[in-house]
Amino acid sequence: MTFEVPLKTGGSKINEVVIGTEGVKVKVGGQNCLPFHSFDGEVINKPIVAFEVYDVKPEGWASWLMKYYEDVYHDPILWAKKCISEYNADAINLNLISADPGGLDAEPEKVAEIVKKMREEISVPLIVYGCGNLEKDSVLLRKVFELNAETNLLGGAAEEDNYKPIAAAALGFKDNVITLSPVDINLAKQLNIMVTQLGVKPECVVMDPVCSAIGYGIEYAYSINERLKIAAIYQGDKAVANPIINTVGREVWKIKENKLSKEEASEWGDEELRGIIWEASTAMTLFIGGSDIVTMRHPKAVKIVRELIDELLAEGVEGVK
Amino acid sequence: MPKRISKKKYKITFLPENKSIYVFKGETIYDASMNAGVFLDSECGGVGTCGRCKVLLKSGQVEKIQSELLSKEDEERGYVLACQTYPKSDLVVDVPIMEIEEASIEEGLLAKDIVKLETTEKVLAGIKRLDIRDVKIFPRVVKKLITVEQPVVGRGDSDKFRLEKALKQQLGLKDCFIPLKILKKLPNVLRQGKWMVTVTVDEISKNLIDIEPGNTTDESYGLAIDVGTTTVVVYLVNLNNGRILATASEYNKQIRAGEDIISRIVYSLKGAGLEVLQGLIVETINELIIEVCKRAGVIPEKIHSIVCAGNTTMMHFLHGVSPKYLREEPYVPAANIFPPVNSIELFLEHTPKAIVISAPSVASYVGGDISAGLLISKLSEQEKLTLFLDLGTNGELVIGNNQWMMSTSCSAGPAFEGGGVKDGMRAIKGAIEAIEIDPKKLKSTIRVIGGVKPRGICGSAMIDLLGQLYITGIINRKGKFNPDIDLPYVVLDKANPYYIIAKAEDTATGKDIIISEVDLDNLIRAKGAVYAGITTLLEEVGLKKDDLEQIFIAGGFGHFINVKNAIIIGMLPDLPENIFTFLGNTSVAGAHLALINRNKWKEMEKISKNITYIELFNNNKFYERYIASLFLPYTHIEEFPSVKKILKERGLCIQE
Repeated sequence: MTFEVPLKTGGSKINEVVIGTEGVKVKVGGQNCLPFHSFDGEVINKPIVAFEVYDVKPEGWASWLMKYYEDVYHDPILWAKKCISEYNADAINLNLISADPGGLDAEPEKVAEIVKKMREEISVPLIVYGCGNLEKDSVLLRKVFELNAETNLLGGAAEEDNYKPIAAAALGFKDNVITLSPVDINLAKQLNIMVTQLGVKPECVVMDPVCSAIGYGIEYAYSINERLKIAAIYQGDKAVANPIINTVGREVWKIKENKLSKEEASEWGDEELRGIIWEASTAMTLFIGGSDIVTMRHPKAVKIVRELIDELLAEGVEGVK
Repeated sequence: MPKRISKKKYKITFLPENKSIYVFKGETIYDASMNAGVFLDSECGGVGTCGRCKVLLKSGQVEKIQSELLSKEDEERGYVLACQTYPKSDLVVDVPIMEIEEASIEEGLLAKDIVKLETTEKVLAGIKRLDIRDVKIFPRVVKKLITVEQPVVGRGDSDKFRLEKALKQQLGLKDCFIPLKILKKLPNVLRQGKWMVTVTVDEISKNLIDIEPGNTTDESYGLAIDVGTTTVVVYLVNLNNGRILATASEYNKQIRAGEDIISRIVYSLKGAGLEVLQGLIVETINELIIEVCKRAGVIPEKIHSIVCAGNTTMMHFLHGVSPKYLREEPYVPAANIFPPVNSIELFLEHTPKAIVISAPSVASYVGGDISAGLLISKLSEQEKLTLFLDLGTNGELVIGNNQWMMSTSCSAGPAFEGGGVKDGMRAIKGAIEAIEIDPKKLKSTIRVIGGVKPRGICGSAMIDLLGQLYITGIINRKGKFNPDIDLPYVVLDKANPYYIIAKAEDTATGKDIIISEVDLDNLIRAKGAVYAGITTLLEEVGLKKDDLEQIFIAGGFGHFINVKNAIIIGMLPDLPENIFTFLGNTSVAGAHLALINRNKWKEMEKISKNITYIELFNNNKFYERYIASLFLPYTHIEEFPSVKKILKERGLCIQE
């Protein structure tokens, strides 16, 4: 008797979100099965990796990461272009840290201009995160959506305490919004409900349930990703049927294990290899959990992850239709 | 050389009590106050986060940690925060008079007024109201008239011997213990009463409690007391017929030392904290005893029996037993059943002859108030699967029937009893007890207890308010005010928006009665804990909400609960309204029952021993449901189909 792979078909669909305009667009979500379970259903769109780019030179990056961007970090547009031309980026994640009131406190208009310019000059879709300050972001993101109206830009993050102006702007200017809630399935659902109650279409929302690096509580992040997907696909919970984004680069490169050189921690071996493995395995873990978009930094880590994704989704793998 | 001698000590004098104590360098004024047994107002227990332990520095040098919680004006006037200030010399400090408004003693609501919900006429038949005509009057302490033989010349039988003989022959009491204090007055009492005396006997311990000349059997009184975390209720009862003569309730004075059980336990562990807490609850009860006696025209000394019901921690405080290990894993109490004691031992000084009996607890966080409630609700006799909810500061839940019972507890906070809500108050005269909001004008229609001008809102009205604000679209599912609503009753103050329930000109206080976003947040947490507790308990026993055949609700909310609104806010499960029955304060009602019939205490003890307790402290699912419950009515609206329907009708539910 031959073994038959038990199938779990008949799942509900994740909303398909379109990021970017004709020619530079990418779609995420749309699947009706768990990640890479193409034997259970249809993986319509491949999960994507977005390269993290910062609007000013970031502080405190390890030299073995920084060296890849040494020639471009002074100009975010050049930086983005390098990621596309040399590292073959699917998407760019621009982080508007210059707006942070605790730092440069740049004017929202000025910062939003950078976004507009980048969007116009690059050939891949753009995902924008504000500076993380709730008040500033509510003004900044409004401006960003305004200057990039009707371009299907993905911007955020809208949180419990500032979702109204941000989501309203995304709705008004016909862009997509990221809803961010701290590692809790119910809080994620509540925020999505609040945002859609404002009139934002479910097909315009991507969730950021917050992640962490391996060794820093990734079990929680993995589990939340997975539970959100199970709830959406197999329990038909429409309020969480949105693609998931995880900001892996930020999390992985801030931990001490990726700041100490091989001289400082010889027992940990080569520092760059360590960082690449750390970032790639964190990203893969979250993809397997249920992520649809992951943001990353190290070009070699990105390469590994993309190869793994392609391999997992390749035709002809045993059990795959 | 012993270590201590090298340490520097300072003398701290507290005015106006003029109590002095020495402290070591490195201890704060707050520490000193605890050691001296001087009561300082504090909610945080001396960790510098509440800013309430202000004292006026009269003389001496100090070193202090700057705190934003002390206003500039206060600082200039010489005030310091006691827990943030270290003496550097001998000090004299003045403790300001408590700024907390002393709650006035008001007539409480009687549990015998079990009020039917509008639609539950039939359901009430299932349980019997506490009708004293059905209860056999059989108290533990009785008063009996006896005749003692006169002494005869030539037969040297003592007064005590002849009294014992009379007790045996007339009352069948063998080996009755006659304490010295009775013996002291015995000879005069016998002669004064011309050999007719009334004896007061504890029939269980066989102690002679009192002896009076003549016939005083008419004057037989007892007290039933609900010792609540937030509210204390006292009934004065005539033990000859079981009738309630007067009632009174007041906030527990311990609130000054922390609003919830845990912060009070923390408080009790420092210095003289336990004595302070015992003193505060005793003071509360003593004042209430004076009040009920005044109202009924009874001399407090004639009270000879008291039954207390309260949660396990409160029983520890009342008896002066440290509840320390209630808070430490594996969370065990010193005792579930406290022994009978003379009221003097508990410092209940107005009733020196009374014996105090406590309702037996089930577990660390399911107390004698619940045993009393189960006695009243007769849960253990129900055929139907029944849920019993006691919604106090600690919410206790019991599920079961005549076959089995399971219980758990969850901390709901004092919101339903008026705590943590700006215009909150107990369910007494002047409290708004019901609210309806007009969906168009957004104006409130209120009902006030006693039909007077309102002073505040009680628990039942808070449930109404939360539900009505939600279905009129004034607040959103998170309990936040909708900024698009711009009407006279909503004030969108940026820091803390609020809704005006009654305008200043219509209130007894001359101020608007309002509910703010912060208040609503406290209410949502309270209702969230209750619902998460119910659903988690149900799951632990492998049942679903639809399996429940009846639900009994107890608590000091007011005359009733509007079940519809309680479902709209997601506090009670979405089930047909006619399965809910509101029982009022069952804790004091159970104490009343046990007071007038001593067999009922035994029954209560039996009930308490037949309940299995489940801990929610470390239950992940409870926490998850709690977070899901911090949303109106609940994150997963499918659990509340009737609410979804209302929202759809009102156009408030866009998706799903």
